[in-house]
Amino acid sequence: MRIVRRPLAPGENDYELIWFCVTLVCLLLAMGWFAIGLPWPHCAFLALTGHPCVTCGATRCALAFFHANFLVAWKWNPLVFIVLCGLSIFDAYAFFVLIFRVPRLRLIQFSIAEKSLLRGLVIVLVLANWIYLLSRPPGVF
Amino acid sequence: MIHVNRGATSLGAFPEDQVREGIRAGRFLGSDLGWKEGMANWQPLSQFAEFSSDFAAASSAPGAPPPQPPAGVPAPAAQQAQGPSSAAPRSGLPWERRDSLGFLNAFVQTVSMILTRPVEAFTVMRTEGGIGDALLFGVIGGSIGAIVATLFSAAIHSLGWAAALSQRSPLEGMMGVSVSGAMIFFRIILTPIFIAIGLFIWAGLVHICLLMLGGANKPFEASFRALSFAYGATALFCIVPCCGWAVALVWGLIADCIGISRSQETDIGRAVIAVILPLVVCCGGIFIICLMLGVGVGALMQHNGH
Repeated sequence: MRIVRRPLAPGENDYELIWFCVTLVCLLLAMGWFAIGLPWPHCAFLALTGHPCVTCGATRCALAFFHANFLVAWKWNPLVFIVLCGLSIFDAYAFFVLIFRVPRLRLIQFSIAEKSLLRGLVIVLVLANWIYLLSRPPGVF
Repeated sequence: MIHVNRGATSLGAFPEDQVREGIRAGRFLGSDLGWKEGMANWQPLSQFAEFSSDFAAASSAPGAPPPQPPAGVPAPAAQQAQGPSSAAPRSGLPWERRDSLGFLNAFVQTVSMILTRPVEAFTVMRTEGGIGDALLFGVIGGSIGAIVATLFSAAIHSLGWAAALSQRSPLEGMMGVSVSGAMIFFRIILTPIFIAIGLFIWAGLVHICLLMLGGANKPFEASFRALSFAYGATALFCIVPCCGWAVALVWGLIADCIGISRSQETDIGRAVIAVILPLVVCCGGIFIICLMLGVGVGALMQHNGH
């Protein structure tokens, strides 16, 4: 795997712009949602089984994250916390390259072993996160 | 390594030898854009001095064998390079030819094709060429379905409002109607934004699952185009009162599976898992699947006379 810096080709899909806009609009919509007091999403899996699903606690994790309570956010849902960290880093990068019009970062030349490693890592992370959520005391969620 | 792009699509990064070989075999075109480290900007491959002899050889070879898709190069790129006969399967949906067919005609033909002949539709759908036209189709189809459903719902609710407001003062009634009307107005205004954002998130989740399953043979653009076209056509079922959303949901999932399978040129099993996995991981999906299974089992039991 290699990371290269290259300019955007003429007419090429500008994924930095697209995903920056998507995350920004999502954030604004979420802020608007909570600002006007609309109901929080409820977990159907939790209601049906009594056990948390993989994404349980995501809303409270996001709220804590955006209030800079990172430890609290981590405790609510470590996987969502990692995703939010990744999105924040990506948005900062996207904002920088869009404003300063500098070359974009691209990951190239993934070997089969690296792809397998990444897939395994994601599966382990998801499962570890779920085990952590299931191990929390009943009634937390 | 040389990065090669065709239009809006990145074909990947290749060693110089592979690009040279691809040019001679007709897999890369002179109009394809190339970039390598040290260059300030992209330029057509035909303007790379090191490939001039290869382009000359490619154009002067009369009995050259038919070009084969290169390893690692997305199939549509190879298909376009191969000429009109092999490019025919990716001739594009009617929506992608709306300049010649006309806007409304192209929309109706595309909806009809996706709903009645989804396999054929997603086989001819282009997997490159940008995300704009697919996004436009998805937003138009989705907005029509959602807005009509909203207005229908408001009309039904207005009967209840009228009864409730008749027992209040005229001022309170005016206030109530104004607030409700404003909420419906904002909901309608925000619908296209919600749909556009939703399409990107949904396509992103499905594409990540496809990457995890090893079934992503084409870039994100191909997944986005398939899912956006599928949504734009099937969301129109929401126009049907009461049960339309359920039909749209089930038909949409089926169209998504076919679309992903055909656009990514992967087997249907991986496509189905990639579409279902985000729903299963997210809690709501399990509820919906249970509901669908419950309805299915109930219908089956009724059919069998239990």
